Amino acid sequence: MYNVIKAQCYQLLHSLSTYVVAVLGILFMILMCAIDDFDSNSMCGGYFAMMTNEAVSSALSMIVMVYTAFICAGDMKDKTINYEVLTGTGRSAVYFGRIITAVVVSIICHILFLVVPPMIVTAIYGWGGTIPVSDFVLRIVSALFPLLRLTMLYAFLSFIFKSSALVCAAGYVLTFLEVILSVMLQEFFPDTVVPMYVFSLNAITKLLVPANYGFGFEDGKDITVVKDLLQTSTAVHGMAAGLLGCVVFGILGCTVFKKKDMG
Amino acid sequence: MSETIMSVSGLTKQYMKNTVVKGVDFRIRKGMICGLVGPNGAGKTTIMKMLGGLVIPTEGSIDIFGETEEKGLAHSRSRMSFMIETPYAKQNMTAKENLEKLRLQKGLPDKGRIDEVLDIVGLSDTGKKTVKNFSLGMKQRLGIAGAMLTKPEIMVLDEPVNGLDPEGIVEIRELLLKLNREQHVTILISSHLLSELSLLCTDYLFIRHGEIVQDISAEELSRQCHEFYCISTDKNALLPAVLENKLGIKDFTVQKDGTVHIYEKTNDIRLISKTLFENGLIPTEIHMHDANLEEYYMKLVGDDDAEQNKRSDNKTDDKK
Repeated sequence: MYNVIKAQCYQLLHSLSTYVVAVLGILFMILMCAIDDFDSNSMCGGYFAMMTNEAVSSALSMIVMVYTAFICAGDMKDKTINYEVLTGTGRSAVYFGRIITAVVVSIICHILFLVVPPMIVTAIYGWGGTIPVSDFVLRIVSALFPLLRLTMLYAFLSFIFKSSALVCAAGYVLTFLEVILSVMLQEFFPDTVVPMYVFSLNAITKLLVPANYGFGFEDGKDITVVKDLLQTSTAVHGMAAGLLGCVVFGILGCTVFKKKDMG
Repeated sequence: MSETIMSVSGLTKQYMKNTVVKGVDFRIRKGMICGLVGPNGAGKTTIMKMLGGLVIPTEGSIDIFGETEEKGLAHSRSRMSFMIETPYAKQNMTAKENLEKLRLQKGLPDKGRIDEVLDIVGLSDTGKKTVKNFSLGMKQRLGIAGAMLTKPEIMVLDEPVNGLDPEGIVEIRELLLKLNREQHVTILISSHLLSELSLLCTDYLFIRHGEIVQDISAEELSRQCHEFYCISTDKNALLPAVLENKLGIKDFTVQKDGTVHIYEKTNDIRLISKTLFENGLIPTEIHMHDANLEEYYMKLVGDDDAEQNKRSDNKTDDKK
């Protein structure tokens, strides 16, 4: 399994597509910042993070989808994955080698797109009083688990469709169907918390993006302040639901991969 | 006789109602170069895929280096190399990068082996050219280079000379022969180029409709494909003794129906007839049999092709 991971990392680092997707993601981030037209007077790390998190979380799910499709389905179309089995690597090792690579890449993307930019802004303007650092950390850590659930879903789709393009198409449709469904559920059953724990993208947004803001006063300036700090119980629920989803999609993907003939 | 290092028994693969491999049995002995010969769709690639663990058999068992369970078989496969259908090639990587990825995947410590195998297959000067710009022949060579990376004990090669130019075919043939003779690598190879296989193989497995129709050594095949006299008399039981004692002919085989095939070169068919008469045997049949490998193949599996062509012709007629 370790060899599969090493080979996958080598391939990712030697593929132009890896860098193209990363650059496009960064360009998207810059574009978001430009659209938001941040006022440099109120700019600080916490404020920047809260203002960009919603747009970034949607983009992040797409970036993770593309990378997972590359890692899990990319080698299926040209059948180079067959050679992993042919060299004597067990199917479980081939499967988990890819899953672990995809998960690690998702974690790197999560950090790269959600943690690094606010850190850069903090280095220039300071963290500010918009949101406590502990709340930001809790949000980032808890939102990782639904993202990993999405990763596992895309991996599962990869082992079914065996084509990066098909996985991206199906993943895109499913993710946005999920968004529509979760919005409808919230509309009809406003008190239910089910969507957050069932639908990954909804959970990511809920955990990352505060719903209520107010105004505060800091260093003689009016600042935007997050009013609804994330409850630890909500974060734990989100993480547990994310983990459970990971396990379910992991088992489904493994079963599909182990039972199916490789063409 | 050398030890059996790979064998299959009752190997069957069924897709829905279509059985593509039907209870296949064969043994591969150490040092063999075994040719798997059959028309398209006969089941050659499926058998190789089952050996490689890509396709799960519906029935039957596979034994490689004494291992029969999936876990053990996976370990046995690490002592083998395969090139099945598509050669190992990531399109956006160079030949060297492809082999480096394969080296990491196989967990091989020796980086220098990559240059060695690239040199052997004649791809050492491809530099930064990515595989998508390679010719089919170059891709085949890269696949063979990948198969040679580990110094395997068994190589399973599916149409390895497909797409190669005549010069490339000769090089690959010589390479495989060298690997077999010097490093005692056992090879299971499938190809449509029968003339090519005849220069390489020590044994043949002829396959049709997913069944092994003949398992034959190259020596025996050569006998059957060369000129021989086919002789039958009214008293076939006495025929071998007369041939051996009266004519001094030793290179002959007695067939199930008593007919004798004489492989020794003799131009004096009159002398044979006369001697048979003198010993009370009346020849009922004496004729020269001349078959080459292609004819032999057609006889064994060729009807299938003809049948398929006929069927497709009929379909075309129906459509018309």
